[in-house]
Amino acid sequence: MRSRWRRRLREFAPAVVVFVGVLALLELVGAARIFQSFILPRPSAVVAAFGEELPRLQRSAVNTLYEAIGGLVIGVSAGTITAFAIARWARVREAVLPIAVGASAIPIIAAAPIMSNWFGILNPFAKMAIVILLTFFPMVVNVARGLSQVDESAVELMRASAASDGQVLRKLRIPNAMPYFFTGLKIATTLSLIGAVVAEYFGGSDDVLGRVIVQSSSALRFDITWAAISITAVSGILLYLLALAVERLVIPWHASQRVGET
Amino acid sequence: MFRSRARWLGALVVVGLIAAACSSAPGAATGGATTKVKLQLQWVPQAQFAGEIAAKQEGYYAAEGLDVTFLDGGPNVANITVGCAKDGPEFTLGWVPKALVAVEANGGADCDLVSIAQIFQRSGTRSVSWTASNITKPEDFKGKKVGVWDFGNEYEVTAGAKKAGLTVGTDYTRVIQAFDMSALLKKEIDVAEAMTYNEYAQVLEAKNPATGQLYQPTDLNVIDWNQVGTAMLQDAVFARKAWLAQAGNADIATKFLRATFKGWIFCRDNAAKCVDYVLAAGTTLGKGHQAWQMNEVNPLIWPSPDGIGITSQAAWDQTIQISLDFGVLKARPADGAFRNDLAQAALQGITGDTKGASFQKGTVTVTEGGN
Repeated sequence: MRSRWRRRLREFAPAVVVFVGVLALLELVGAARIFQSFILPRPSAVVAAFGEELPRLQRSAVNTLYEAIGGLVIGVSAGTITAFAIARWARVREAVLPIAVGASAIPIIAAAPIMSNWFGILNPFAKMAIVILLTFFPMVVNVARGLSQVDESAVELMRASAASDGQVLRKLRIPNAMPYFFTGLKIATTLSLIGAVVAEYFGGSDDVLGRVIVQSSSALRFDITWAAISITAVSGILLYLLALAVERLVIPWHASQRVGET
Repeated sequence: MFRSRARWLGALVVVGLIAAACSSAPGAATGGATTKVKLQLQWVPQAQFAGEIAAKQEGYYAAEGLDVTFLDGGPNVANITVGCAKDGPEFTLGWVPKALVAVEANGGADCDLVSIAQIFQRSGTRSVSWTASNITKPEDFKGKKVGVWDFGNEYEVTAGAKKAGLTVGTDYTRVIQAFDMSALLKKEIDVAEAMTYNEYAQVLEAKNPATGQLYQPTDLNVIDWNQVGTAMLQDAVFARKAWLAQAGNADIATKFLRATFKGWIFCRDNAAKCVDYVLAAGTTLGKGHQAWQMNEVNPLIWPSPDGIGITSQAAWDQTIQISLDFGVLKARPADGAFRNDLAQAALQGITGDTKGASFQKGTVTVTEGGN
């Protein structure tokens, strides 16, 4: 147990050293005043901005996460359901897949003002809709592949044993699709925050991270901007780790989960 | 620490000297050569900048030996940030409080913008609402959804609400508008921030679905922040203090201002011609809208009691006082945050009417969609 922890520590040590080193370097560069302070704020200034703007940052983080997670849940669910339909019926695949590909090709920055117009500038769903657009496609593609790319001989064996379609689905296709599902989910977690913040650039509620970024950067308070960006990044990482943890719980048997253990 | 800083400075000086030696050789404007300068616009090309556009088209800049390039602004351009950069444009058009906030936030050394000419003497910011909502003064914001833009464009409205004793979040909801009037047109918000020369017209250029006709001014209540007393100075010409301190640059600035002032005088007297110039400069909105805008921008400038471009100490003090009272600024800006000497010198070389005391606003017919 202890040696495992030590091994973990050794695993993460280089990343931690680099991270702390970069922060220290930024602080030194800031102290030497090589750049204008608004170009590269010192990490200590960013920490101070956290203290100064804490209530607003907290409110904003809650609102932005609500949009991101709401959109993530809907996008992942809708994408997964669509993938099941695609894997089951060729007709659905022919009808839906081109549209899904087309939707994924829309630059989201162009779709954001349209969503605000459709659903209302104050409706959090207008922001979620952008997240849905972003997360839906990776889920469809990944899960559909997982459901259909099964070992043909396994299907034949099950058929020979008089397994029904439902049994093939439950006992073969879904387990096979699980790693694909989690791959899609992990991509979707980080995309969700990108989508939410970009959507916020087009107006709406005042207390959201996207607005904090816009307002602070236009006032040249880039220390606050960096504070808001840090919250966005950390939230994205936490969502990713959450997806990773669920993956480890649900499919501990999968090869990808065992790689790190050996 | 001191030694390392000294060494850094030494290295910077060396680099700076080399850079100066390299760049000044071809760029040195002597004799009849033209000097290239850039102007960062506050927004996309439109009649708000008709004076500058006309100064270029009428050859006023060329006559002063300047070759001026316009850098477009817009919703995704932080004009003040661009203007602060050491290698940024020589001149930046921006609103005074926004520039002051940027200067304060960066200690004055890293962003050292100085206002050298106050083009707009009055604020064009209004808050408009439907007459049915019966919102005629800031006190009526209570319990309403009040739209503002951010980017520092919201100070007059939020200051006005605060003056009326209202707290954002508890007494009224502040909503960030997109840069169009759809939220008001769809009645998603009760009040919308609008510039007289732009968004207010966009409402009047839209059809009222109930009547099938264009919306009329009588459909709207308008709060004028000039009258409420929270108006702040808007379009001004900024330049970097360090740039102005370099030899010859104050002269370039004076020439730039003189040509710009002449452009605005031309647009006061030849509004229709200026609308054509603006359209030729590649604006996105149509002729009807630009004609309206030209007609609304002129009264923000004229009359200019002390001559165009001169910052009135009283208006400046009001801008500072409101900024301090409402938390926009933490402290009074250092002396020299604005200067009138360059604008005064620029006015010296102009023979025409630089005050426009007898100016009368014209009338413009609204066209659907501003076409």
